[in-house]
Amino acid sequence: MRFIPESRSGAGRLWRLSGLVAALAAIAAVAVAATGLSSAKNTAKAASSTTLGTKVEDGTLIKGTLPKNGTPARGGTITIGQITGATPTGINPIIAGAQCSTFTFNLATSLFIPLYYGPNGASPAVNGSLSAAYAPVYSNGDKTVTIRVKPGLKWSNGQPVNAEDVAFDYYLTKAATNASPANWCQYASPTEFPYNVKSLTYHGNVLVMHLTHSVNPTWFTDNQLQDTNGGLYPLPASSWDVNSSGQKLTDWATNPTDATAIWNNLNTLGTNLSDFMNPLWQVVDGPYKLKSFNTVNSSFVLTPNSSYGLKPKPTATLDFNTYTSTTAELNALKAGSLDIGGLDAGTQLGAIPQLQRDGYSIYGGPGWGWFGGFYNFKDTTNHFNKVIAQPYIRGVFAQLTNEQAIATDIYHGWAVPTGGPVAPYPKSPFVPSVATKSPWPYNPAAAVATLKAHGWNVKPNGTTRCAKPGAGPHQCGAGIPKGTPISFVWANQPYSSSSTGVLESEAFASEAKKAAGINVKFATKSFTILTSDYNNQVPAGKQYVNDWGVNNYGGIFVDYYPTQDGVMNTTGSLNVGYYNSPTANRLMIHSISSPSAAAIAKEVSFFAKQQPVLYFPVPDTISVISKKVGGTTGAFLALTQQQFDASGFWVNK
Amino acid sequence: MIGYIIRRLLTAVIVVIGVAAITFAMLHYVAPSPVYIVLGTKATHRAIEVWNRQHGYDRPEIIQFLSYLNNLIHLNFGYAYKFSQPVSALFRENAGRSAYLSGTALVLSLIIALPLGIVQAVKRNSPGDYAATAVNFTLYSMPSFFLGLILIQLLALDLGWFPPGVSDTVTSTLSAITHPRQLFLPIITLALLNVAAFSRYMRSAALDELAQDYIRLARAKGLSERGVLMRHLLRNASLSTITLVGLSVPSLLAGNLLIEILFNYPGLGLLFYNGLTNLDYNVMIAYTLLGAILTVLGNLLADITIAAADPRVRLG
Repeated sequence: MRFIPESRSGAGRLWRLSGLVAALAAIAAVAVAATGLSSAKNTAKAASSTTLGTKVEDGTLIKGTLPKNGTPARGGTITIGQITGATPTGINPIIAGAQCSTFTFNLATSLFIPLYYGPNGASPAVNGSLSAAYAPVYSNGDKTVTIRVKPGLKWSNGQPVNAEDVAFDYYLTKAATNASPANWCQYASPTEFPYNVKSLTYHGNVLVMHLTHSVNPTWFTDNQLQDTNGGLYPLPASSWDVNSSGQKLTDWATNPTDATAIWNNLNTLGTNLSDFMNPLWQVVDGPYKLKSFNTVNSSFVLTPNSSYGLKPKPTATLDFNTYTSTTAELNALKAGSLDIGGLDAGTQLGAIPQLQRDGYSIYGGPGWGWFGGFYNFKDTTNHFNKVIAQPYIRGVFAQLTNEQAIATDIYHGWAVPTGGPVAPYPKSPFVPSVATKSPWPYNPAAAVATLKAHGWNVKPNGTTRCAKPGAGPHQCGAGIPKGTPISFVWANQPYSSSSTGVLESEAFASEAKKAAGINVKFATKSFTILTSDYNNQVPAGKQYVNDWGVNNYGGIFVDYYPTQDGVMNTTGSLNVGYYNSPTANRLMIHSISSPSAAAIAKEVSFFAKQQPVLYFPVPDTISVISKKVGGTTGAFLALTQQQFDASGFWVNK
Repeated sequence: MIGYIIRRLLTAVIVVIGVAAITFAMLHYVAPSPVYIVLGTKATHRAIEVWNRQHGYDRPEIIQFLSYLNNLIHLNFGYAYKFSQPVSALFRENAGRSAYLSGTALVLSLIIALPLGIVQAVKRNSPGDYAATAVNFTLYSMPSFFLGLILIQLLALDLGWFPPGVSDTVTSTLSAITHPRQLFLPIITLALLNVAAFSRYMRSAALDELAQDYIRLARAKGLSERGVLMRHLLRNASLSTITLVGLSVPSLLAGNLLIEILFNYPGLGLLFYNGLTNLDYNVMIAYTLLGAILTVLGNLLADITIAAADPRVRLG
């Protein structure tokens, strides 16, 4: 199972600017505004003047128009933009924690066919046609999984892809996580993959996993085997079974030491940029091969792999160009030197009319997952840990959040309001839409009434304080002394990194102060500090535990089967605020182990009601595609999920 | 002279060690170890301990600093964890392109600024002088990125004469030289800013020199105006510009950070920017040190050049 922290701004740019860079970016932004290239004013004006409609397409809400599919020409080159710092840092499909990003995943899926590929267009589900195996078959009370690798798939060296290659990946992954959980970014807990596989057997194209206990089949397929393309891949066992000295080690299935030595070799070569062109990485089964990799700026070129066994067959060369900023990327789009790029919803909507005139298709859709601010349940400043522990307080905060206004005025319509961990779009195949509705809709009057009913002396525009301490039904809550204010520090990324994140936080703070006397003090921290230091789950976070009440670094890409296991369980690695609920823990365990389809809906509804984080609208990922580029509808839609389906794009005839 | 140079070099060593100490202390205050960058935030306490021990980050900071200095003596700038390469290799790869960018811009600006300054001085208070002064003041007051943005909008996006940024085809110094159209905008941006500064200094110095007796004497003995300007005025009026050029050495080799970022040009400046975004702090320390070294050397170079150009100057 996997969740990847998502930065607030742009197309999943995980590691954002900080320090001097942020200052430089801010200066540049001022200059850009001054020259009229872009400004908040003309962005808003353009946003209101553009005629981009919104419609539900393939289960998601698409704003703008998808490009036409077109007819593939033979050959040609498609140039694709990527931003400095948002580039692949690993090539080994067993991706380590330090390389864990959508950019690394996208390179991996371009070179190697995942055992189970996702998403399916924009839909959070496995795409069978792009997977290396047929759908898994569960038996023995959901304790046995039988996987059949598709026949006819070949490695680029001519060797067949078979079940042994899947087992090779499994044993290497296990060796990696045995050495350290940090060695595999999809590691979640000692009870999950690869440790929930007791044993496995394989022969020919069939691999059978014997699990330690019964599982929910959907969870196991989507969140363990598929795992947002961070799960299993067939890997070329007969080519990669060597240690760093080049010595052949064929007993990786029975000798963990040798499996570790092979993994060490792959990990070293796979994280060293100058080794990306090592012949080892030329043995691929995916749609593309790596033709070149620039170690200075991480630009790279992919060429079609003629051995690729699935459809559609790749035809175009893919040239990934790295730009130092979203502004530089936008300039390249305007100059016509870029075929596929992105737009920042916070600052670049003003460019849409010109890009449309230049023949670009522009569209966007919300990503799978949620955005919002993590509460710090350990922050003792002003007894905030006791205050935020009250579910009614978290409900009050939700009622003071005008999501519709944020989506309309801050994101200019390029966002979808949500009230819980599962947004209404893209539609989840596993959660009924009723579970995506917020039980705490925007209602400041109701929020104030709730506070008063719980013994708070509400002072709109002032400082609300607890008047009736105690744990009774009409009292503030356990551990909250009389006179306690509702005051806390809200940590954001810098405005230059995440303008929308700052603006929506200010919108909440303004409403909270005006209506309910809740005081929010803002702090600006880099994305790295927010994810590494303002995190109660890591040792480094201890010294900062009382520095923040809310951490709004962005949000979370949720697995397709949308359990919050890993994010909301007490020791979940992404539970940065240390939310601790035995009921939640029980529900999450039920979601992943029960075959009942109702389990996940119950869990999602619980979190929507409990509001363990302050949910904000989910922003769209906006793509800009030149008229030269055609592709499958699924590939275009997958871009809204920041997934690059490499074989799905071509140069039009 | 040699004694002077040795003394200056010794002072330079102290300055560089001081800069290294301050930079090292600041970065270690922000993050005592790059372990989270390398292993990720989910690394276990055990894994962190092992990594820190393996890489020496468990030692007292003063010991770490002395070890770092020792490595510097051997030209070992450490390992760039996010780039997965030694810092020195990264610097070797990028330095040539930065030097080409800034060097070309510097030469171009000198070719334009020196005659422009002299012509403005000779024709002072003429309409041409006023016009050139107005343009120079406008350019001089402009930050480099601002001028770059204007040129991108005008010459690249509106007129389409040049690309708005340098493409990925420029992967080496040679390819930078063989793609002049790609490099036009970054070079001209840097050159225009230098022209504004150099020509103002040149004009001012030339005005002073034109009032000197030796210029009148040269004219009185019948030397042509061209001869007066080229043989007598140019050399003496260039002394202040030589100092400016010396101070430009850091940007010559360390690259122009903003210009490289703005135009997507792969040089030392962009490397530093990438190091910042990736929190690759060995790159950051090395870049800061390089800046300090080049600033000191640039000053020294300017002093020596002035001494060579002006016989009245005695170093000591």
